[in-house]
Amino acid sequence: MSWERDGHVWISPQTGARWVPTIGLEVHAQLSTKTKLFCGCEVSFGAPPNTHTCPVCTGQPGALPVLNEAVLELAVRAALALGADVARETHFDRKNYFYCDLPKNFQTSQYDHPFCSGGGIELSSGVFVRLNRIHMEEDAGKTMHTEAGSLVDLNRAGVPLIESVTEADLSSPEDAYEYLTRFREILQFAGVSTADMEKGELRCDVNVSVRPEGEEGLRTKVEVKNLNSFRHVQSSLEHEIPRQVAAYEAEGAGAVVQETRLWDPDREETRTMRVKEGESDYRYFPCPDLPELHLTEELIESQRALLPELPKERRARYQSELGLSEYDAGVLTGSRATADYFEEAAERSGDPKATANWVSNELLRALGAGEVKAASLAELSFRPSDLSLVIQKAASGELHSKGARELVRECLRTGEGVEETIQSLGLDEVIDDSQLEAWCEEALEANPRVRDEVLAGNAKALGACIGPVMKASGGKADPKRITEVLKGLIEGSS
Amino acid sequence: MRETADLARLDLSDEECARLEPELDSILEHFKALSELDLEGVEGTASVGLQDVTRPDVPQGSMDPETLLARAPRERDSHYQVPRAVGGSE
Repeated sequence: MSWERDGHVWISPQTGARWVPTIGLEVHAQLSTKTKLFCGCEVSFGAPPNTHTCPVCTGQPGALPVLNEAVLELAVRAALALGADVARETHFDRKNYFYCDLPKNFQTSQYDHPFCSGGGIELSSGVFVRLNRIHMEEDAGKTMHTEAGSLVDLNRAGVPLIESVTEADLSSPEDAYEYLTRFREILQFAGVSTADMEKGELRCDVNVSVRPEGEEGLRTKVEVKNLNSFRHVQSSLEHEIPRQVAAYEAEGAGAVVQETRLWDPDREETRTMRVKEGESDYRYFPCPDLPELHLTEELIESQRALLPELPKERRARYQSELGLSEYDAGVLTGSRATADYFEEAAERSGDPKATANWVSNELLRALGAGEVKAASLAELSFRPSDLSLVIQKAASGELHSKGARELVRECLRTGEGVEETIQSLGLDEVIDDSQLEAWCEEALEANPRVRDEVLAGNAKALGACIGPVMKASGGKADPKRITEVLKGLIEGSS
Repeated sequence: MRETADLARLDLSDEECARLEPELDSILEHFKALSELDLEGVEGTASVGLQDVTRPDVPQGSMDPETLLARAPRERDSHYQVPRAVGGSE
């Protein structure tokens, strides 16, 4: 059954009643450190099981944790990038619960004195999504459930995370998707986290409740987990919101219970995982092994100095100063690597618009199509200086547009430099006009109708002759020059 | 007693509960001594003595996994093997 929507209001197909969802997000992001939060074990992805563990992160008796200073730095930088207030004093707490992926039987986290509070992200609709808090905590291990039992890999145990919790300021699945996109790009631009969801570096839980439009106060919220992509977040909400409405309409108040539900992307439904443990069950208390922390002005200011221009500001500048469209500005700030690459090439070439076209039409296209083996533009052997060289050569007429494109594709394919590739493709060979004229005459003779059609006013008819001349020149002739020569021949003969 | 045991995933019999309850009470009794202290004007703190202890973000090398896994009750394919536990993770 399809649900009609009117802005943020969902209209029940059963009753025609109008319902409003209220959504909050909890996002865990892995900080980009070399080592774990409290021990010198390397942070690794995809390493053989339990090869990055030690007495601290496996919770051996008597092992003592020592805080990684890089975690504090990155956490503070994240807070500043998100506009949050950094606390001057903070400490770690123990969150006690028993599960096989948690070797110490407590998670070292932060409870009533998180290292920062406030801040938030503005969505394109103008809605400001407030952050309630961000705190530091350690990750748990990875569990694989088999017939023989659960198998635990503790490589991930103790990896540093920041958990951010929004206020319930979101009111649609699309809002949630946009918030996550903005959140991830801010962390990436700030260099705080690579936030790769496929590697589990960014994880999101959703809290959602619904209420009839106009009703005061919020109804029972449900937590949805197992959301491995931003799309899953959006789809799970598109299913969970109608589920709650249908439950209220069928069974009345009390039909929705406070619980944790798992999103099943294959069946496209959420289902009960467990009724949530109350907060008091976690018996939080300050971790006696970790001394109190003072976040000094020096630390905060040193991190503020490292903050780059963030994506939102860059998008605005690309439009106002470089004259790019909103769409292009959006594409070019899709990642820090793309934006940095673009800016360097644009600066060198002096032509931001041409640079924007090359980056989005050729480089990002090749990356997306898997034609080059690189995770981002930062890894390309074809550097911004190479691109600006091609742009300059095209502008000066040294290369025609088709040749320039062929050149860039060949450079990406082979990893060779621009000048070498120009030579190997023969793009530096000069085609003299008498040769070009000879090919053009041949083409006109082979297509006698072209001459008549052009003389009758249909300039487009020339197209039929350009292809054969390009072919005769081995692709080296400039299509613009061919057009000129053809026109000259036709007009001269009339 | 029962709730504490449940949170710790301990399956205690009624007899065990009955025996442990007074023991737990007497442990808690010891801590009551703390509440008799006069803390008027003393600010709360999370730690005493040390402050701001950190280490540089430099890998120190991990342990041979076999050494650690050898201490586990059961091991399988270089993993810690535990009774099947589905659906309780945080």
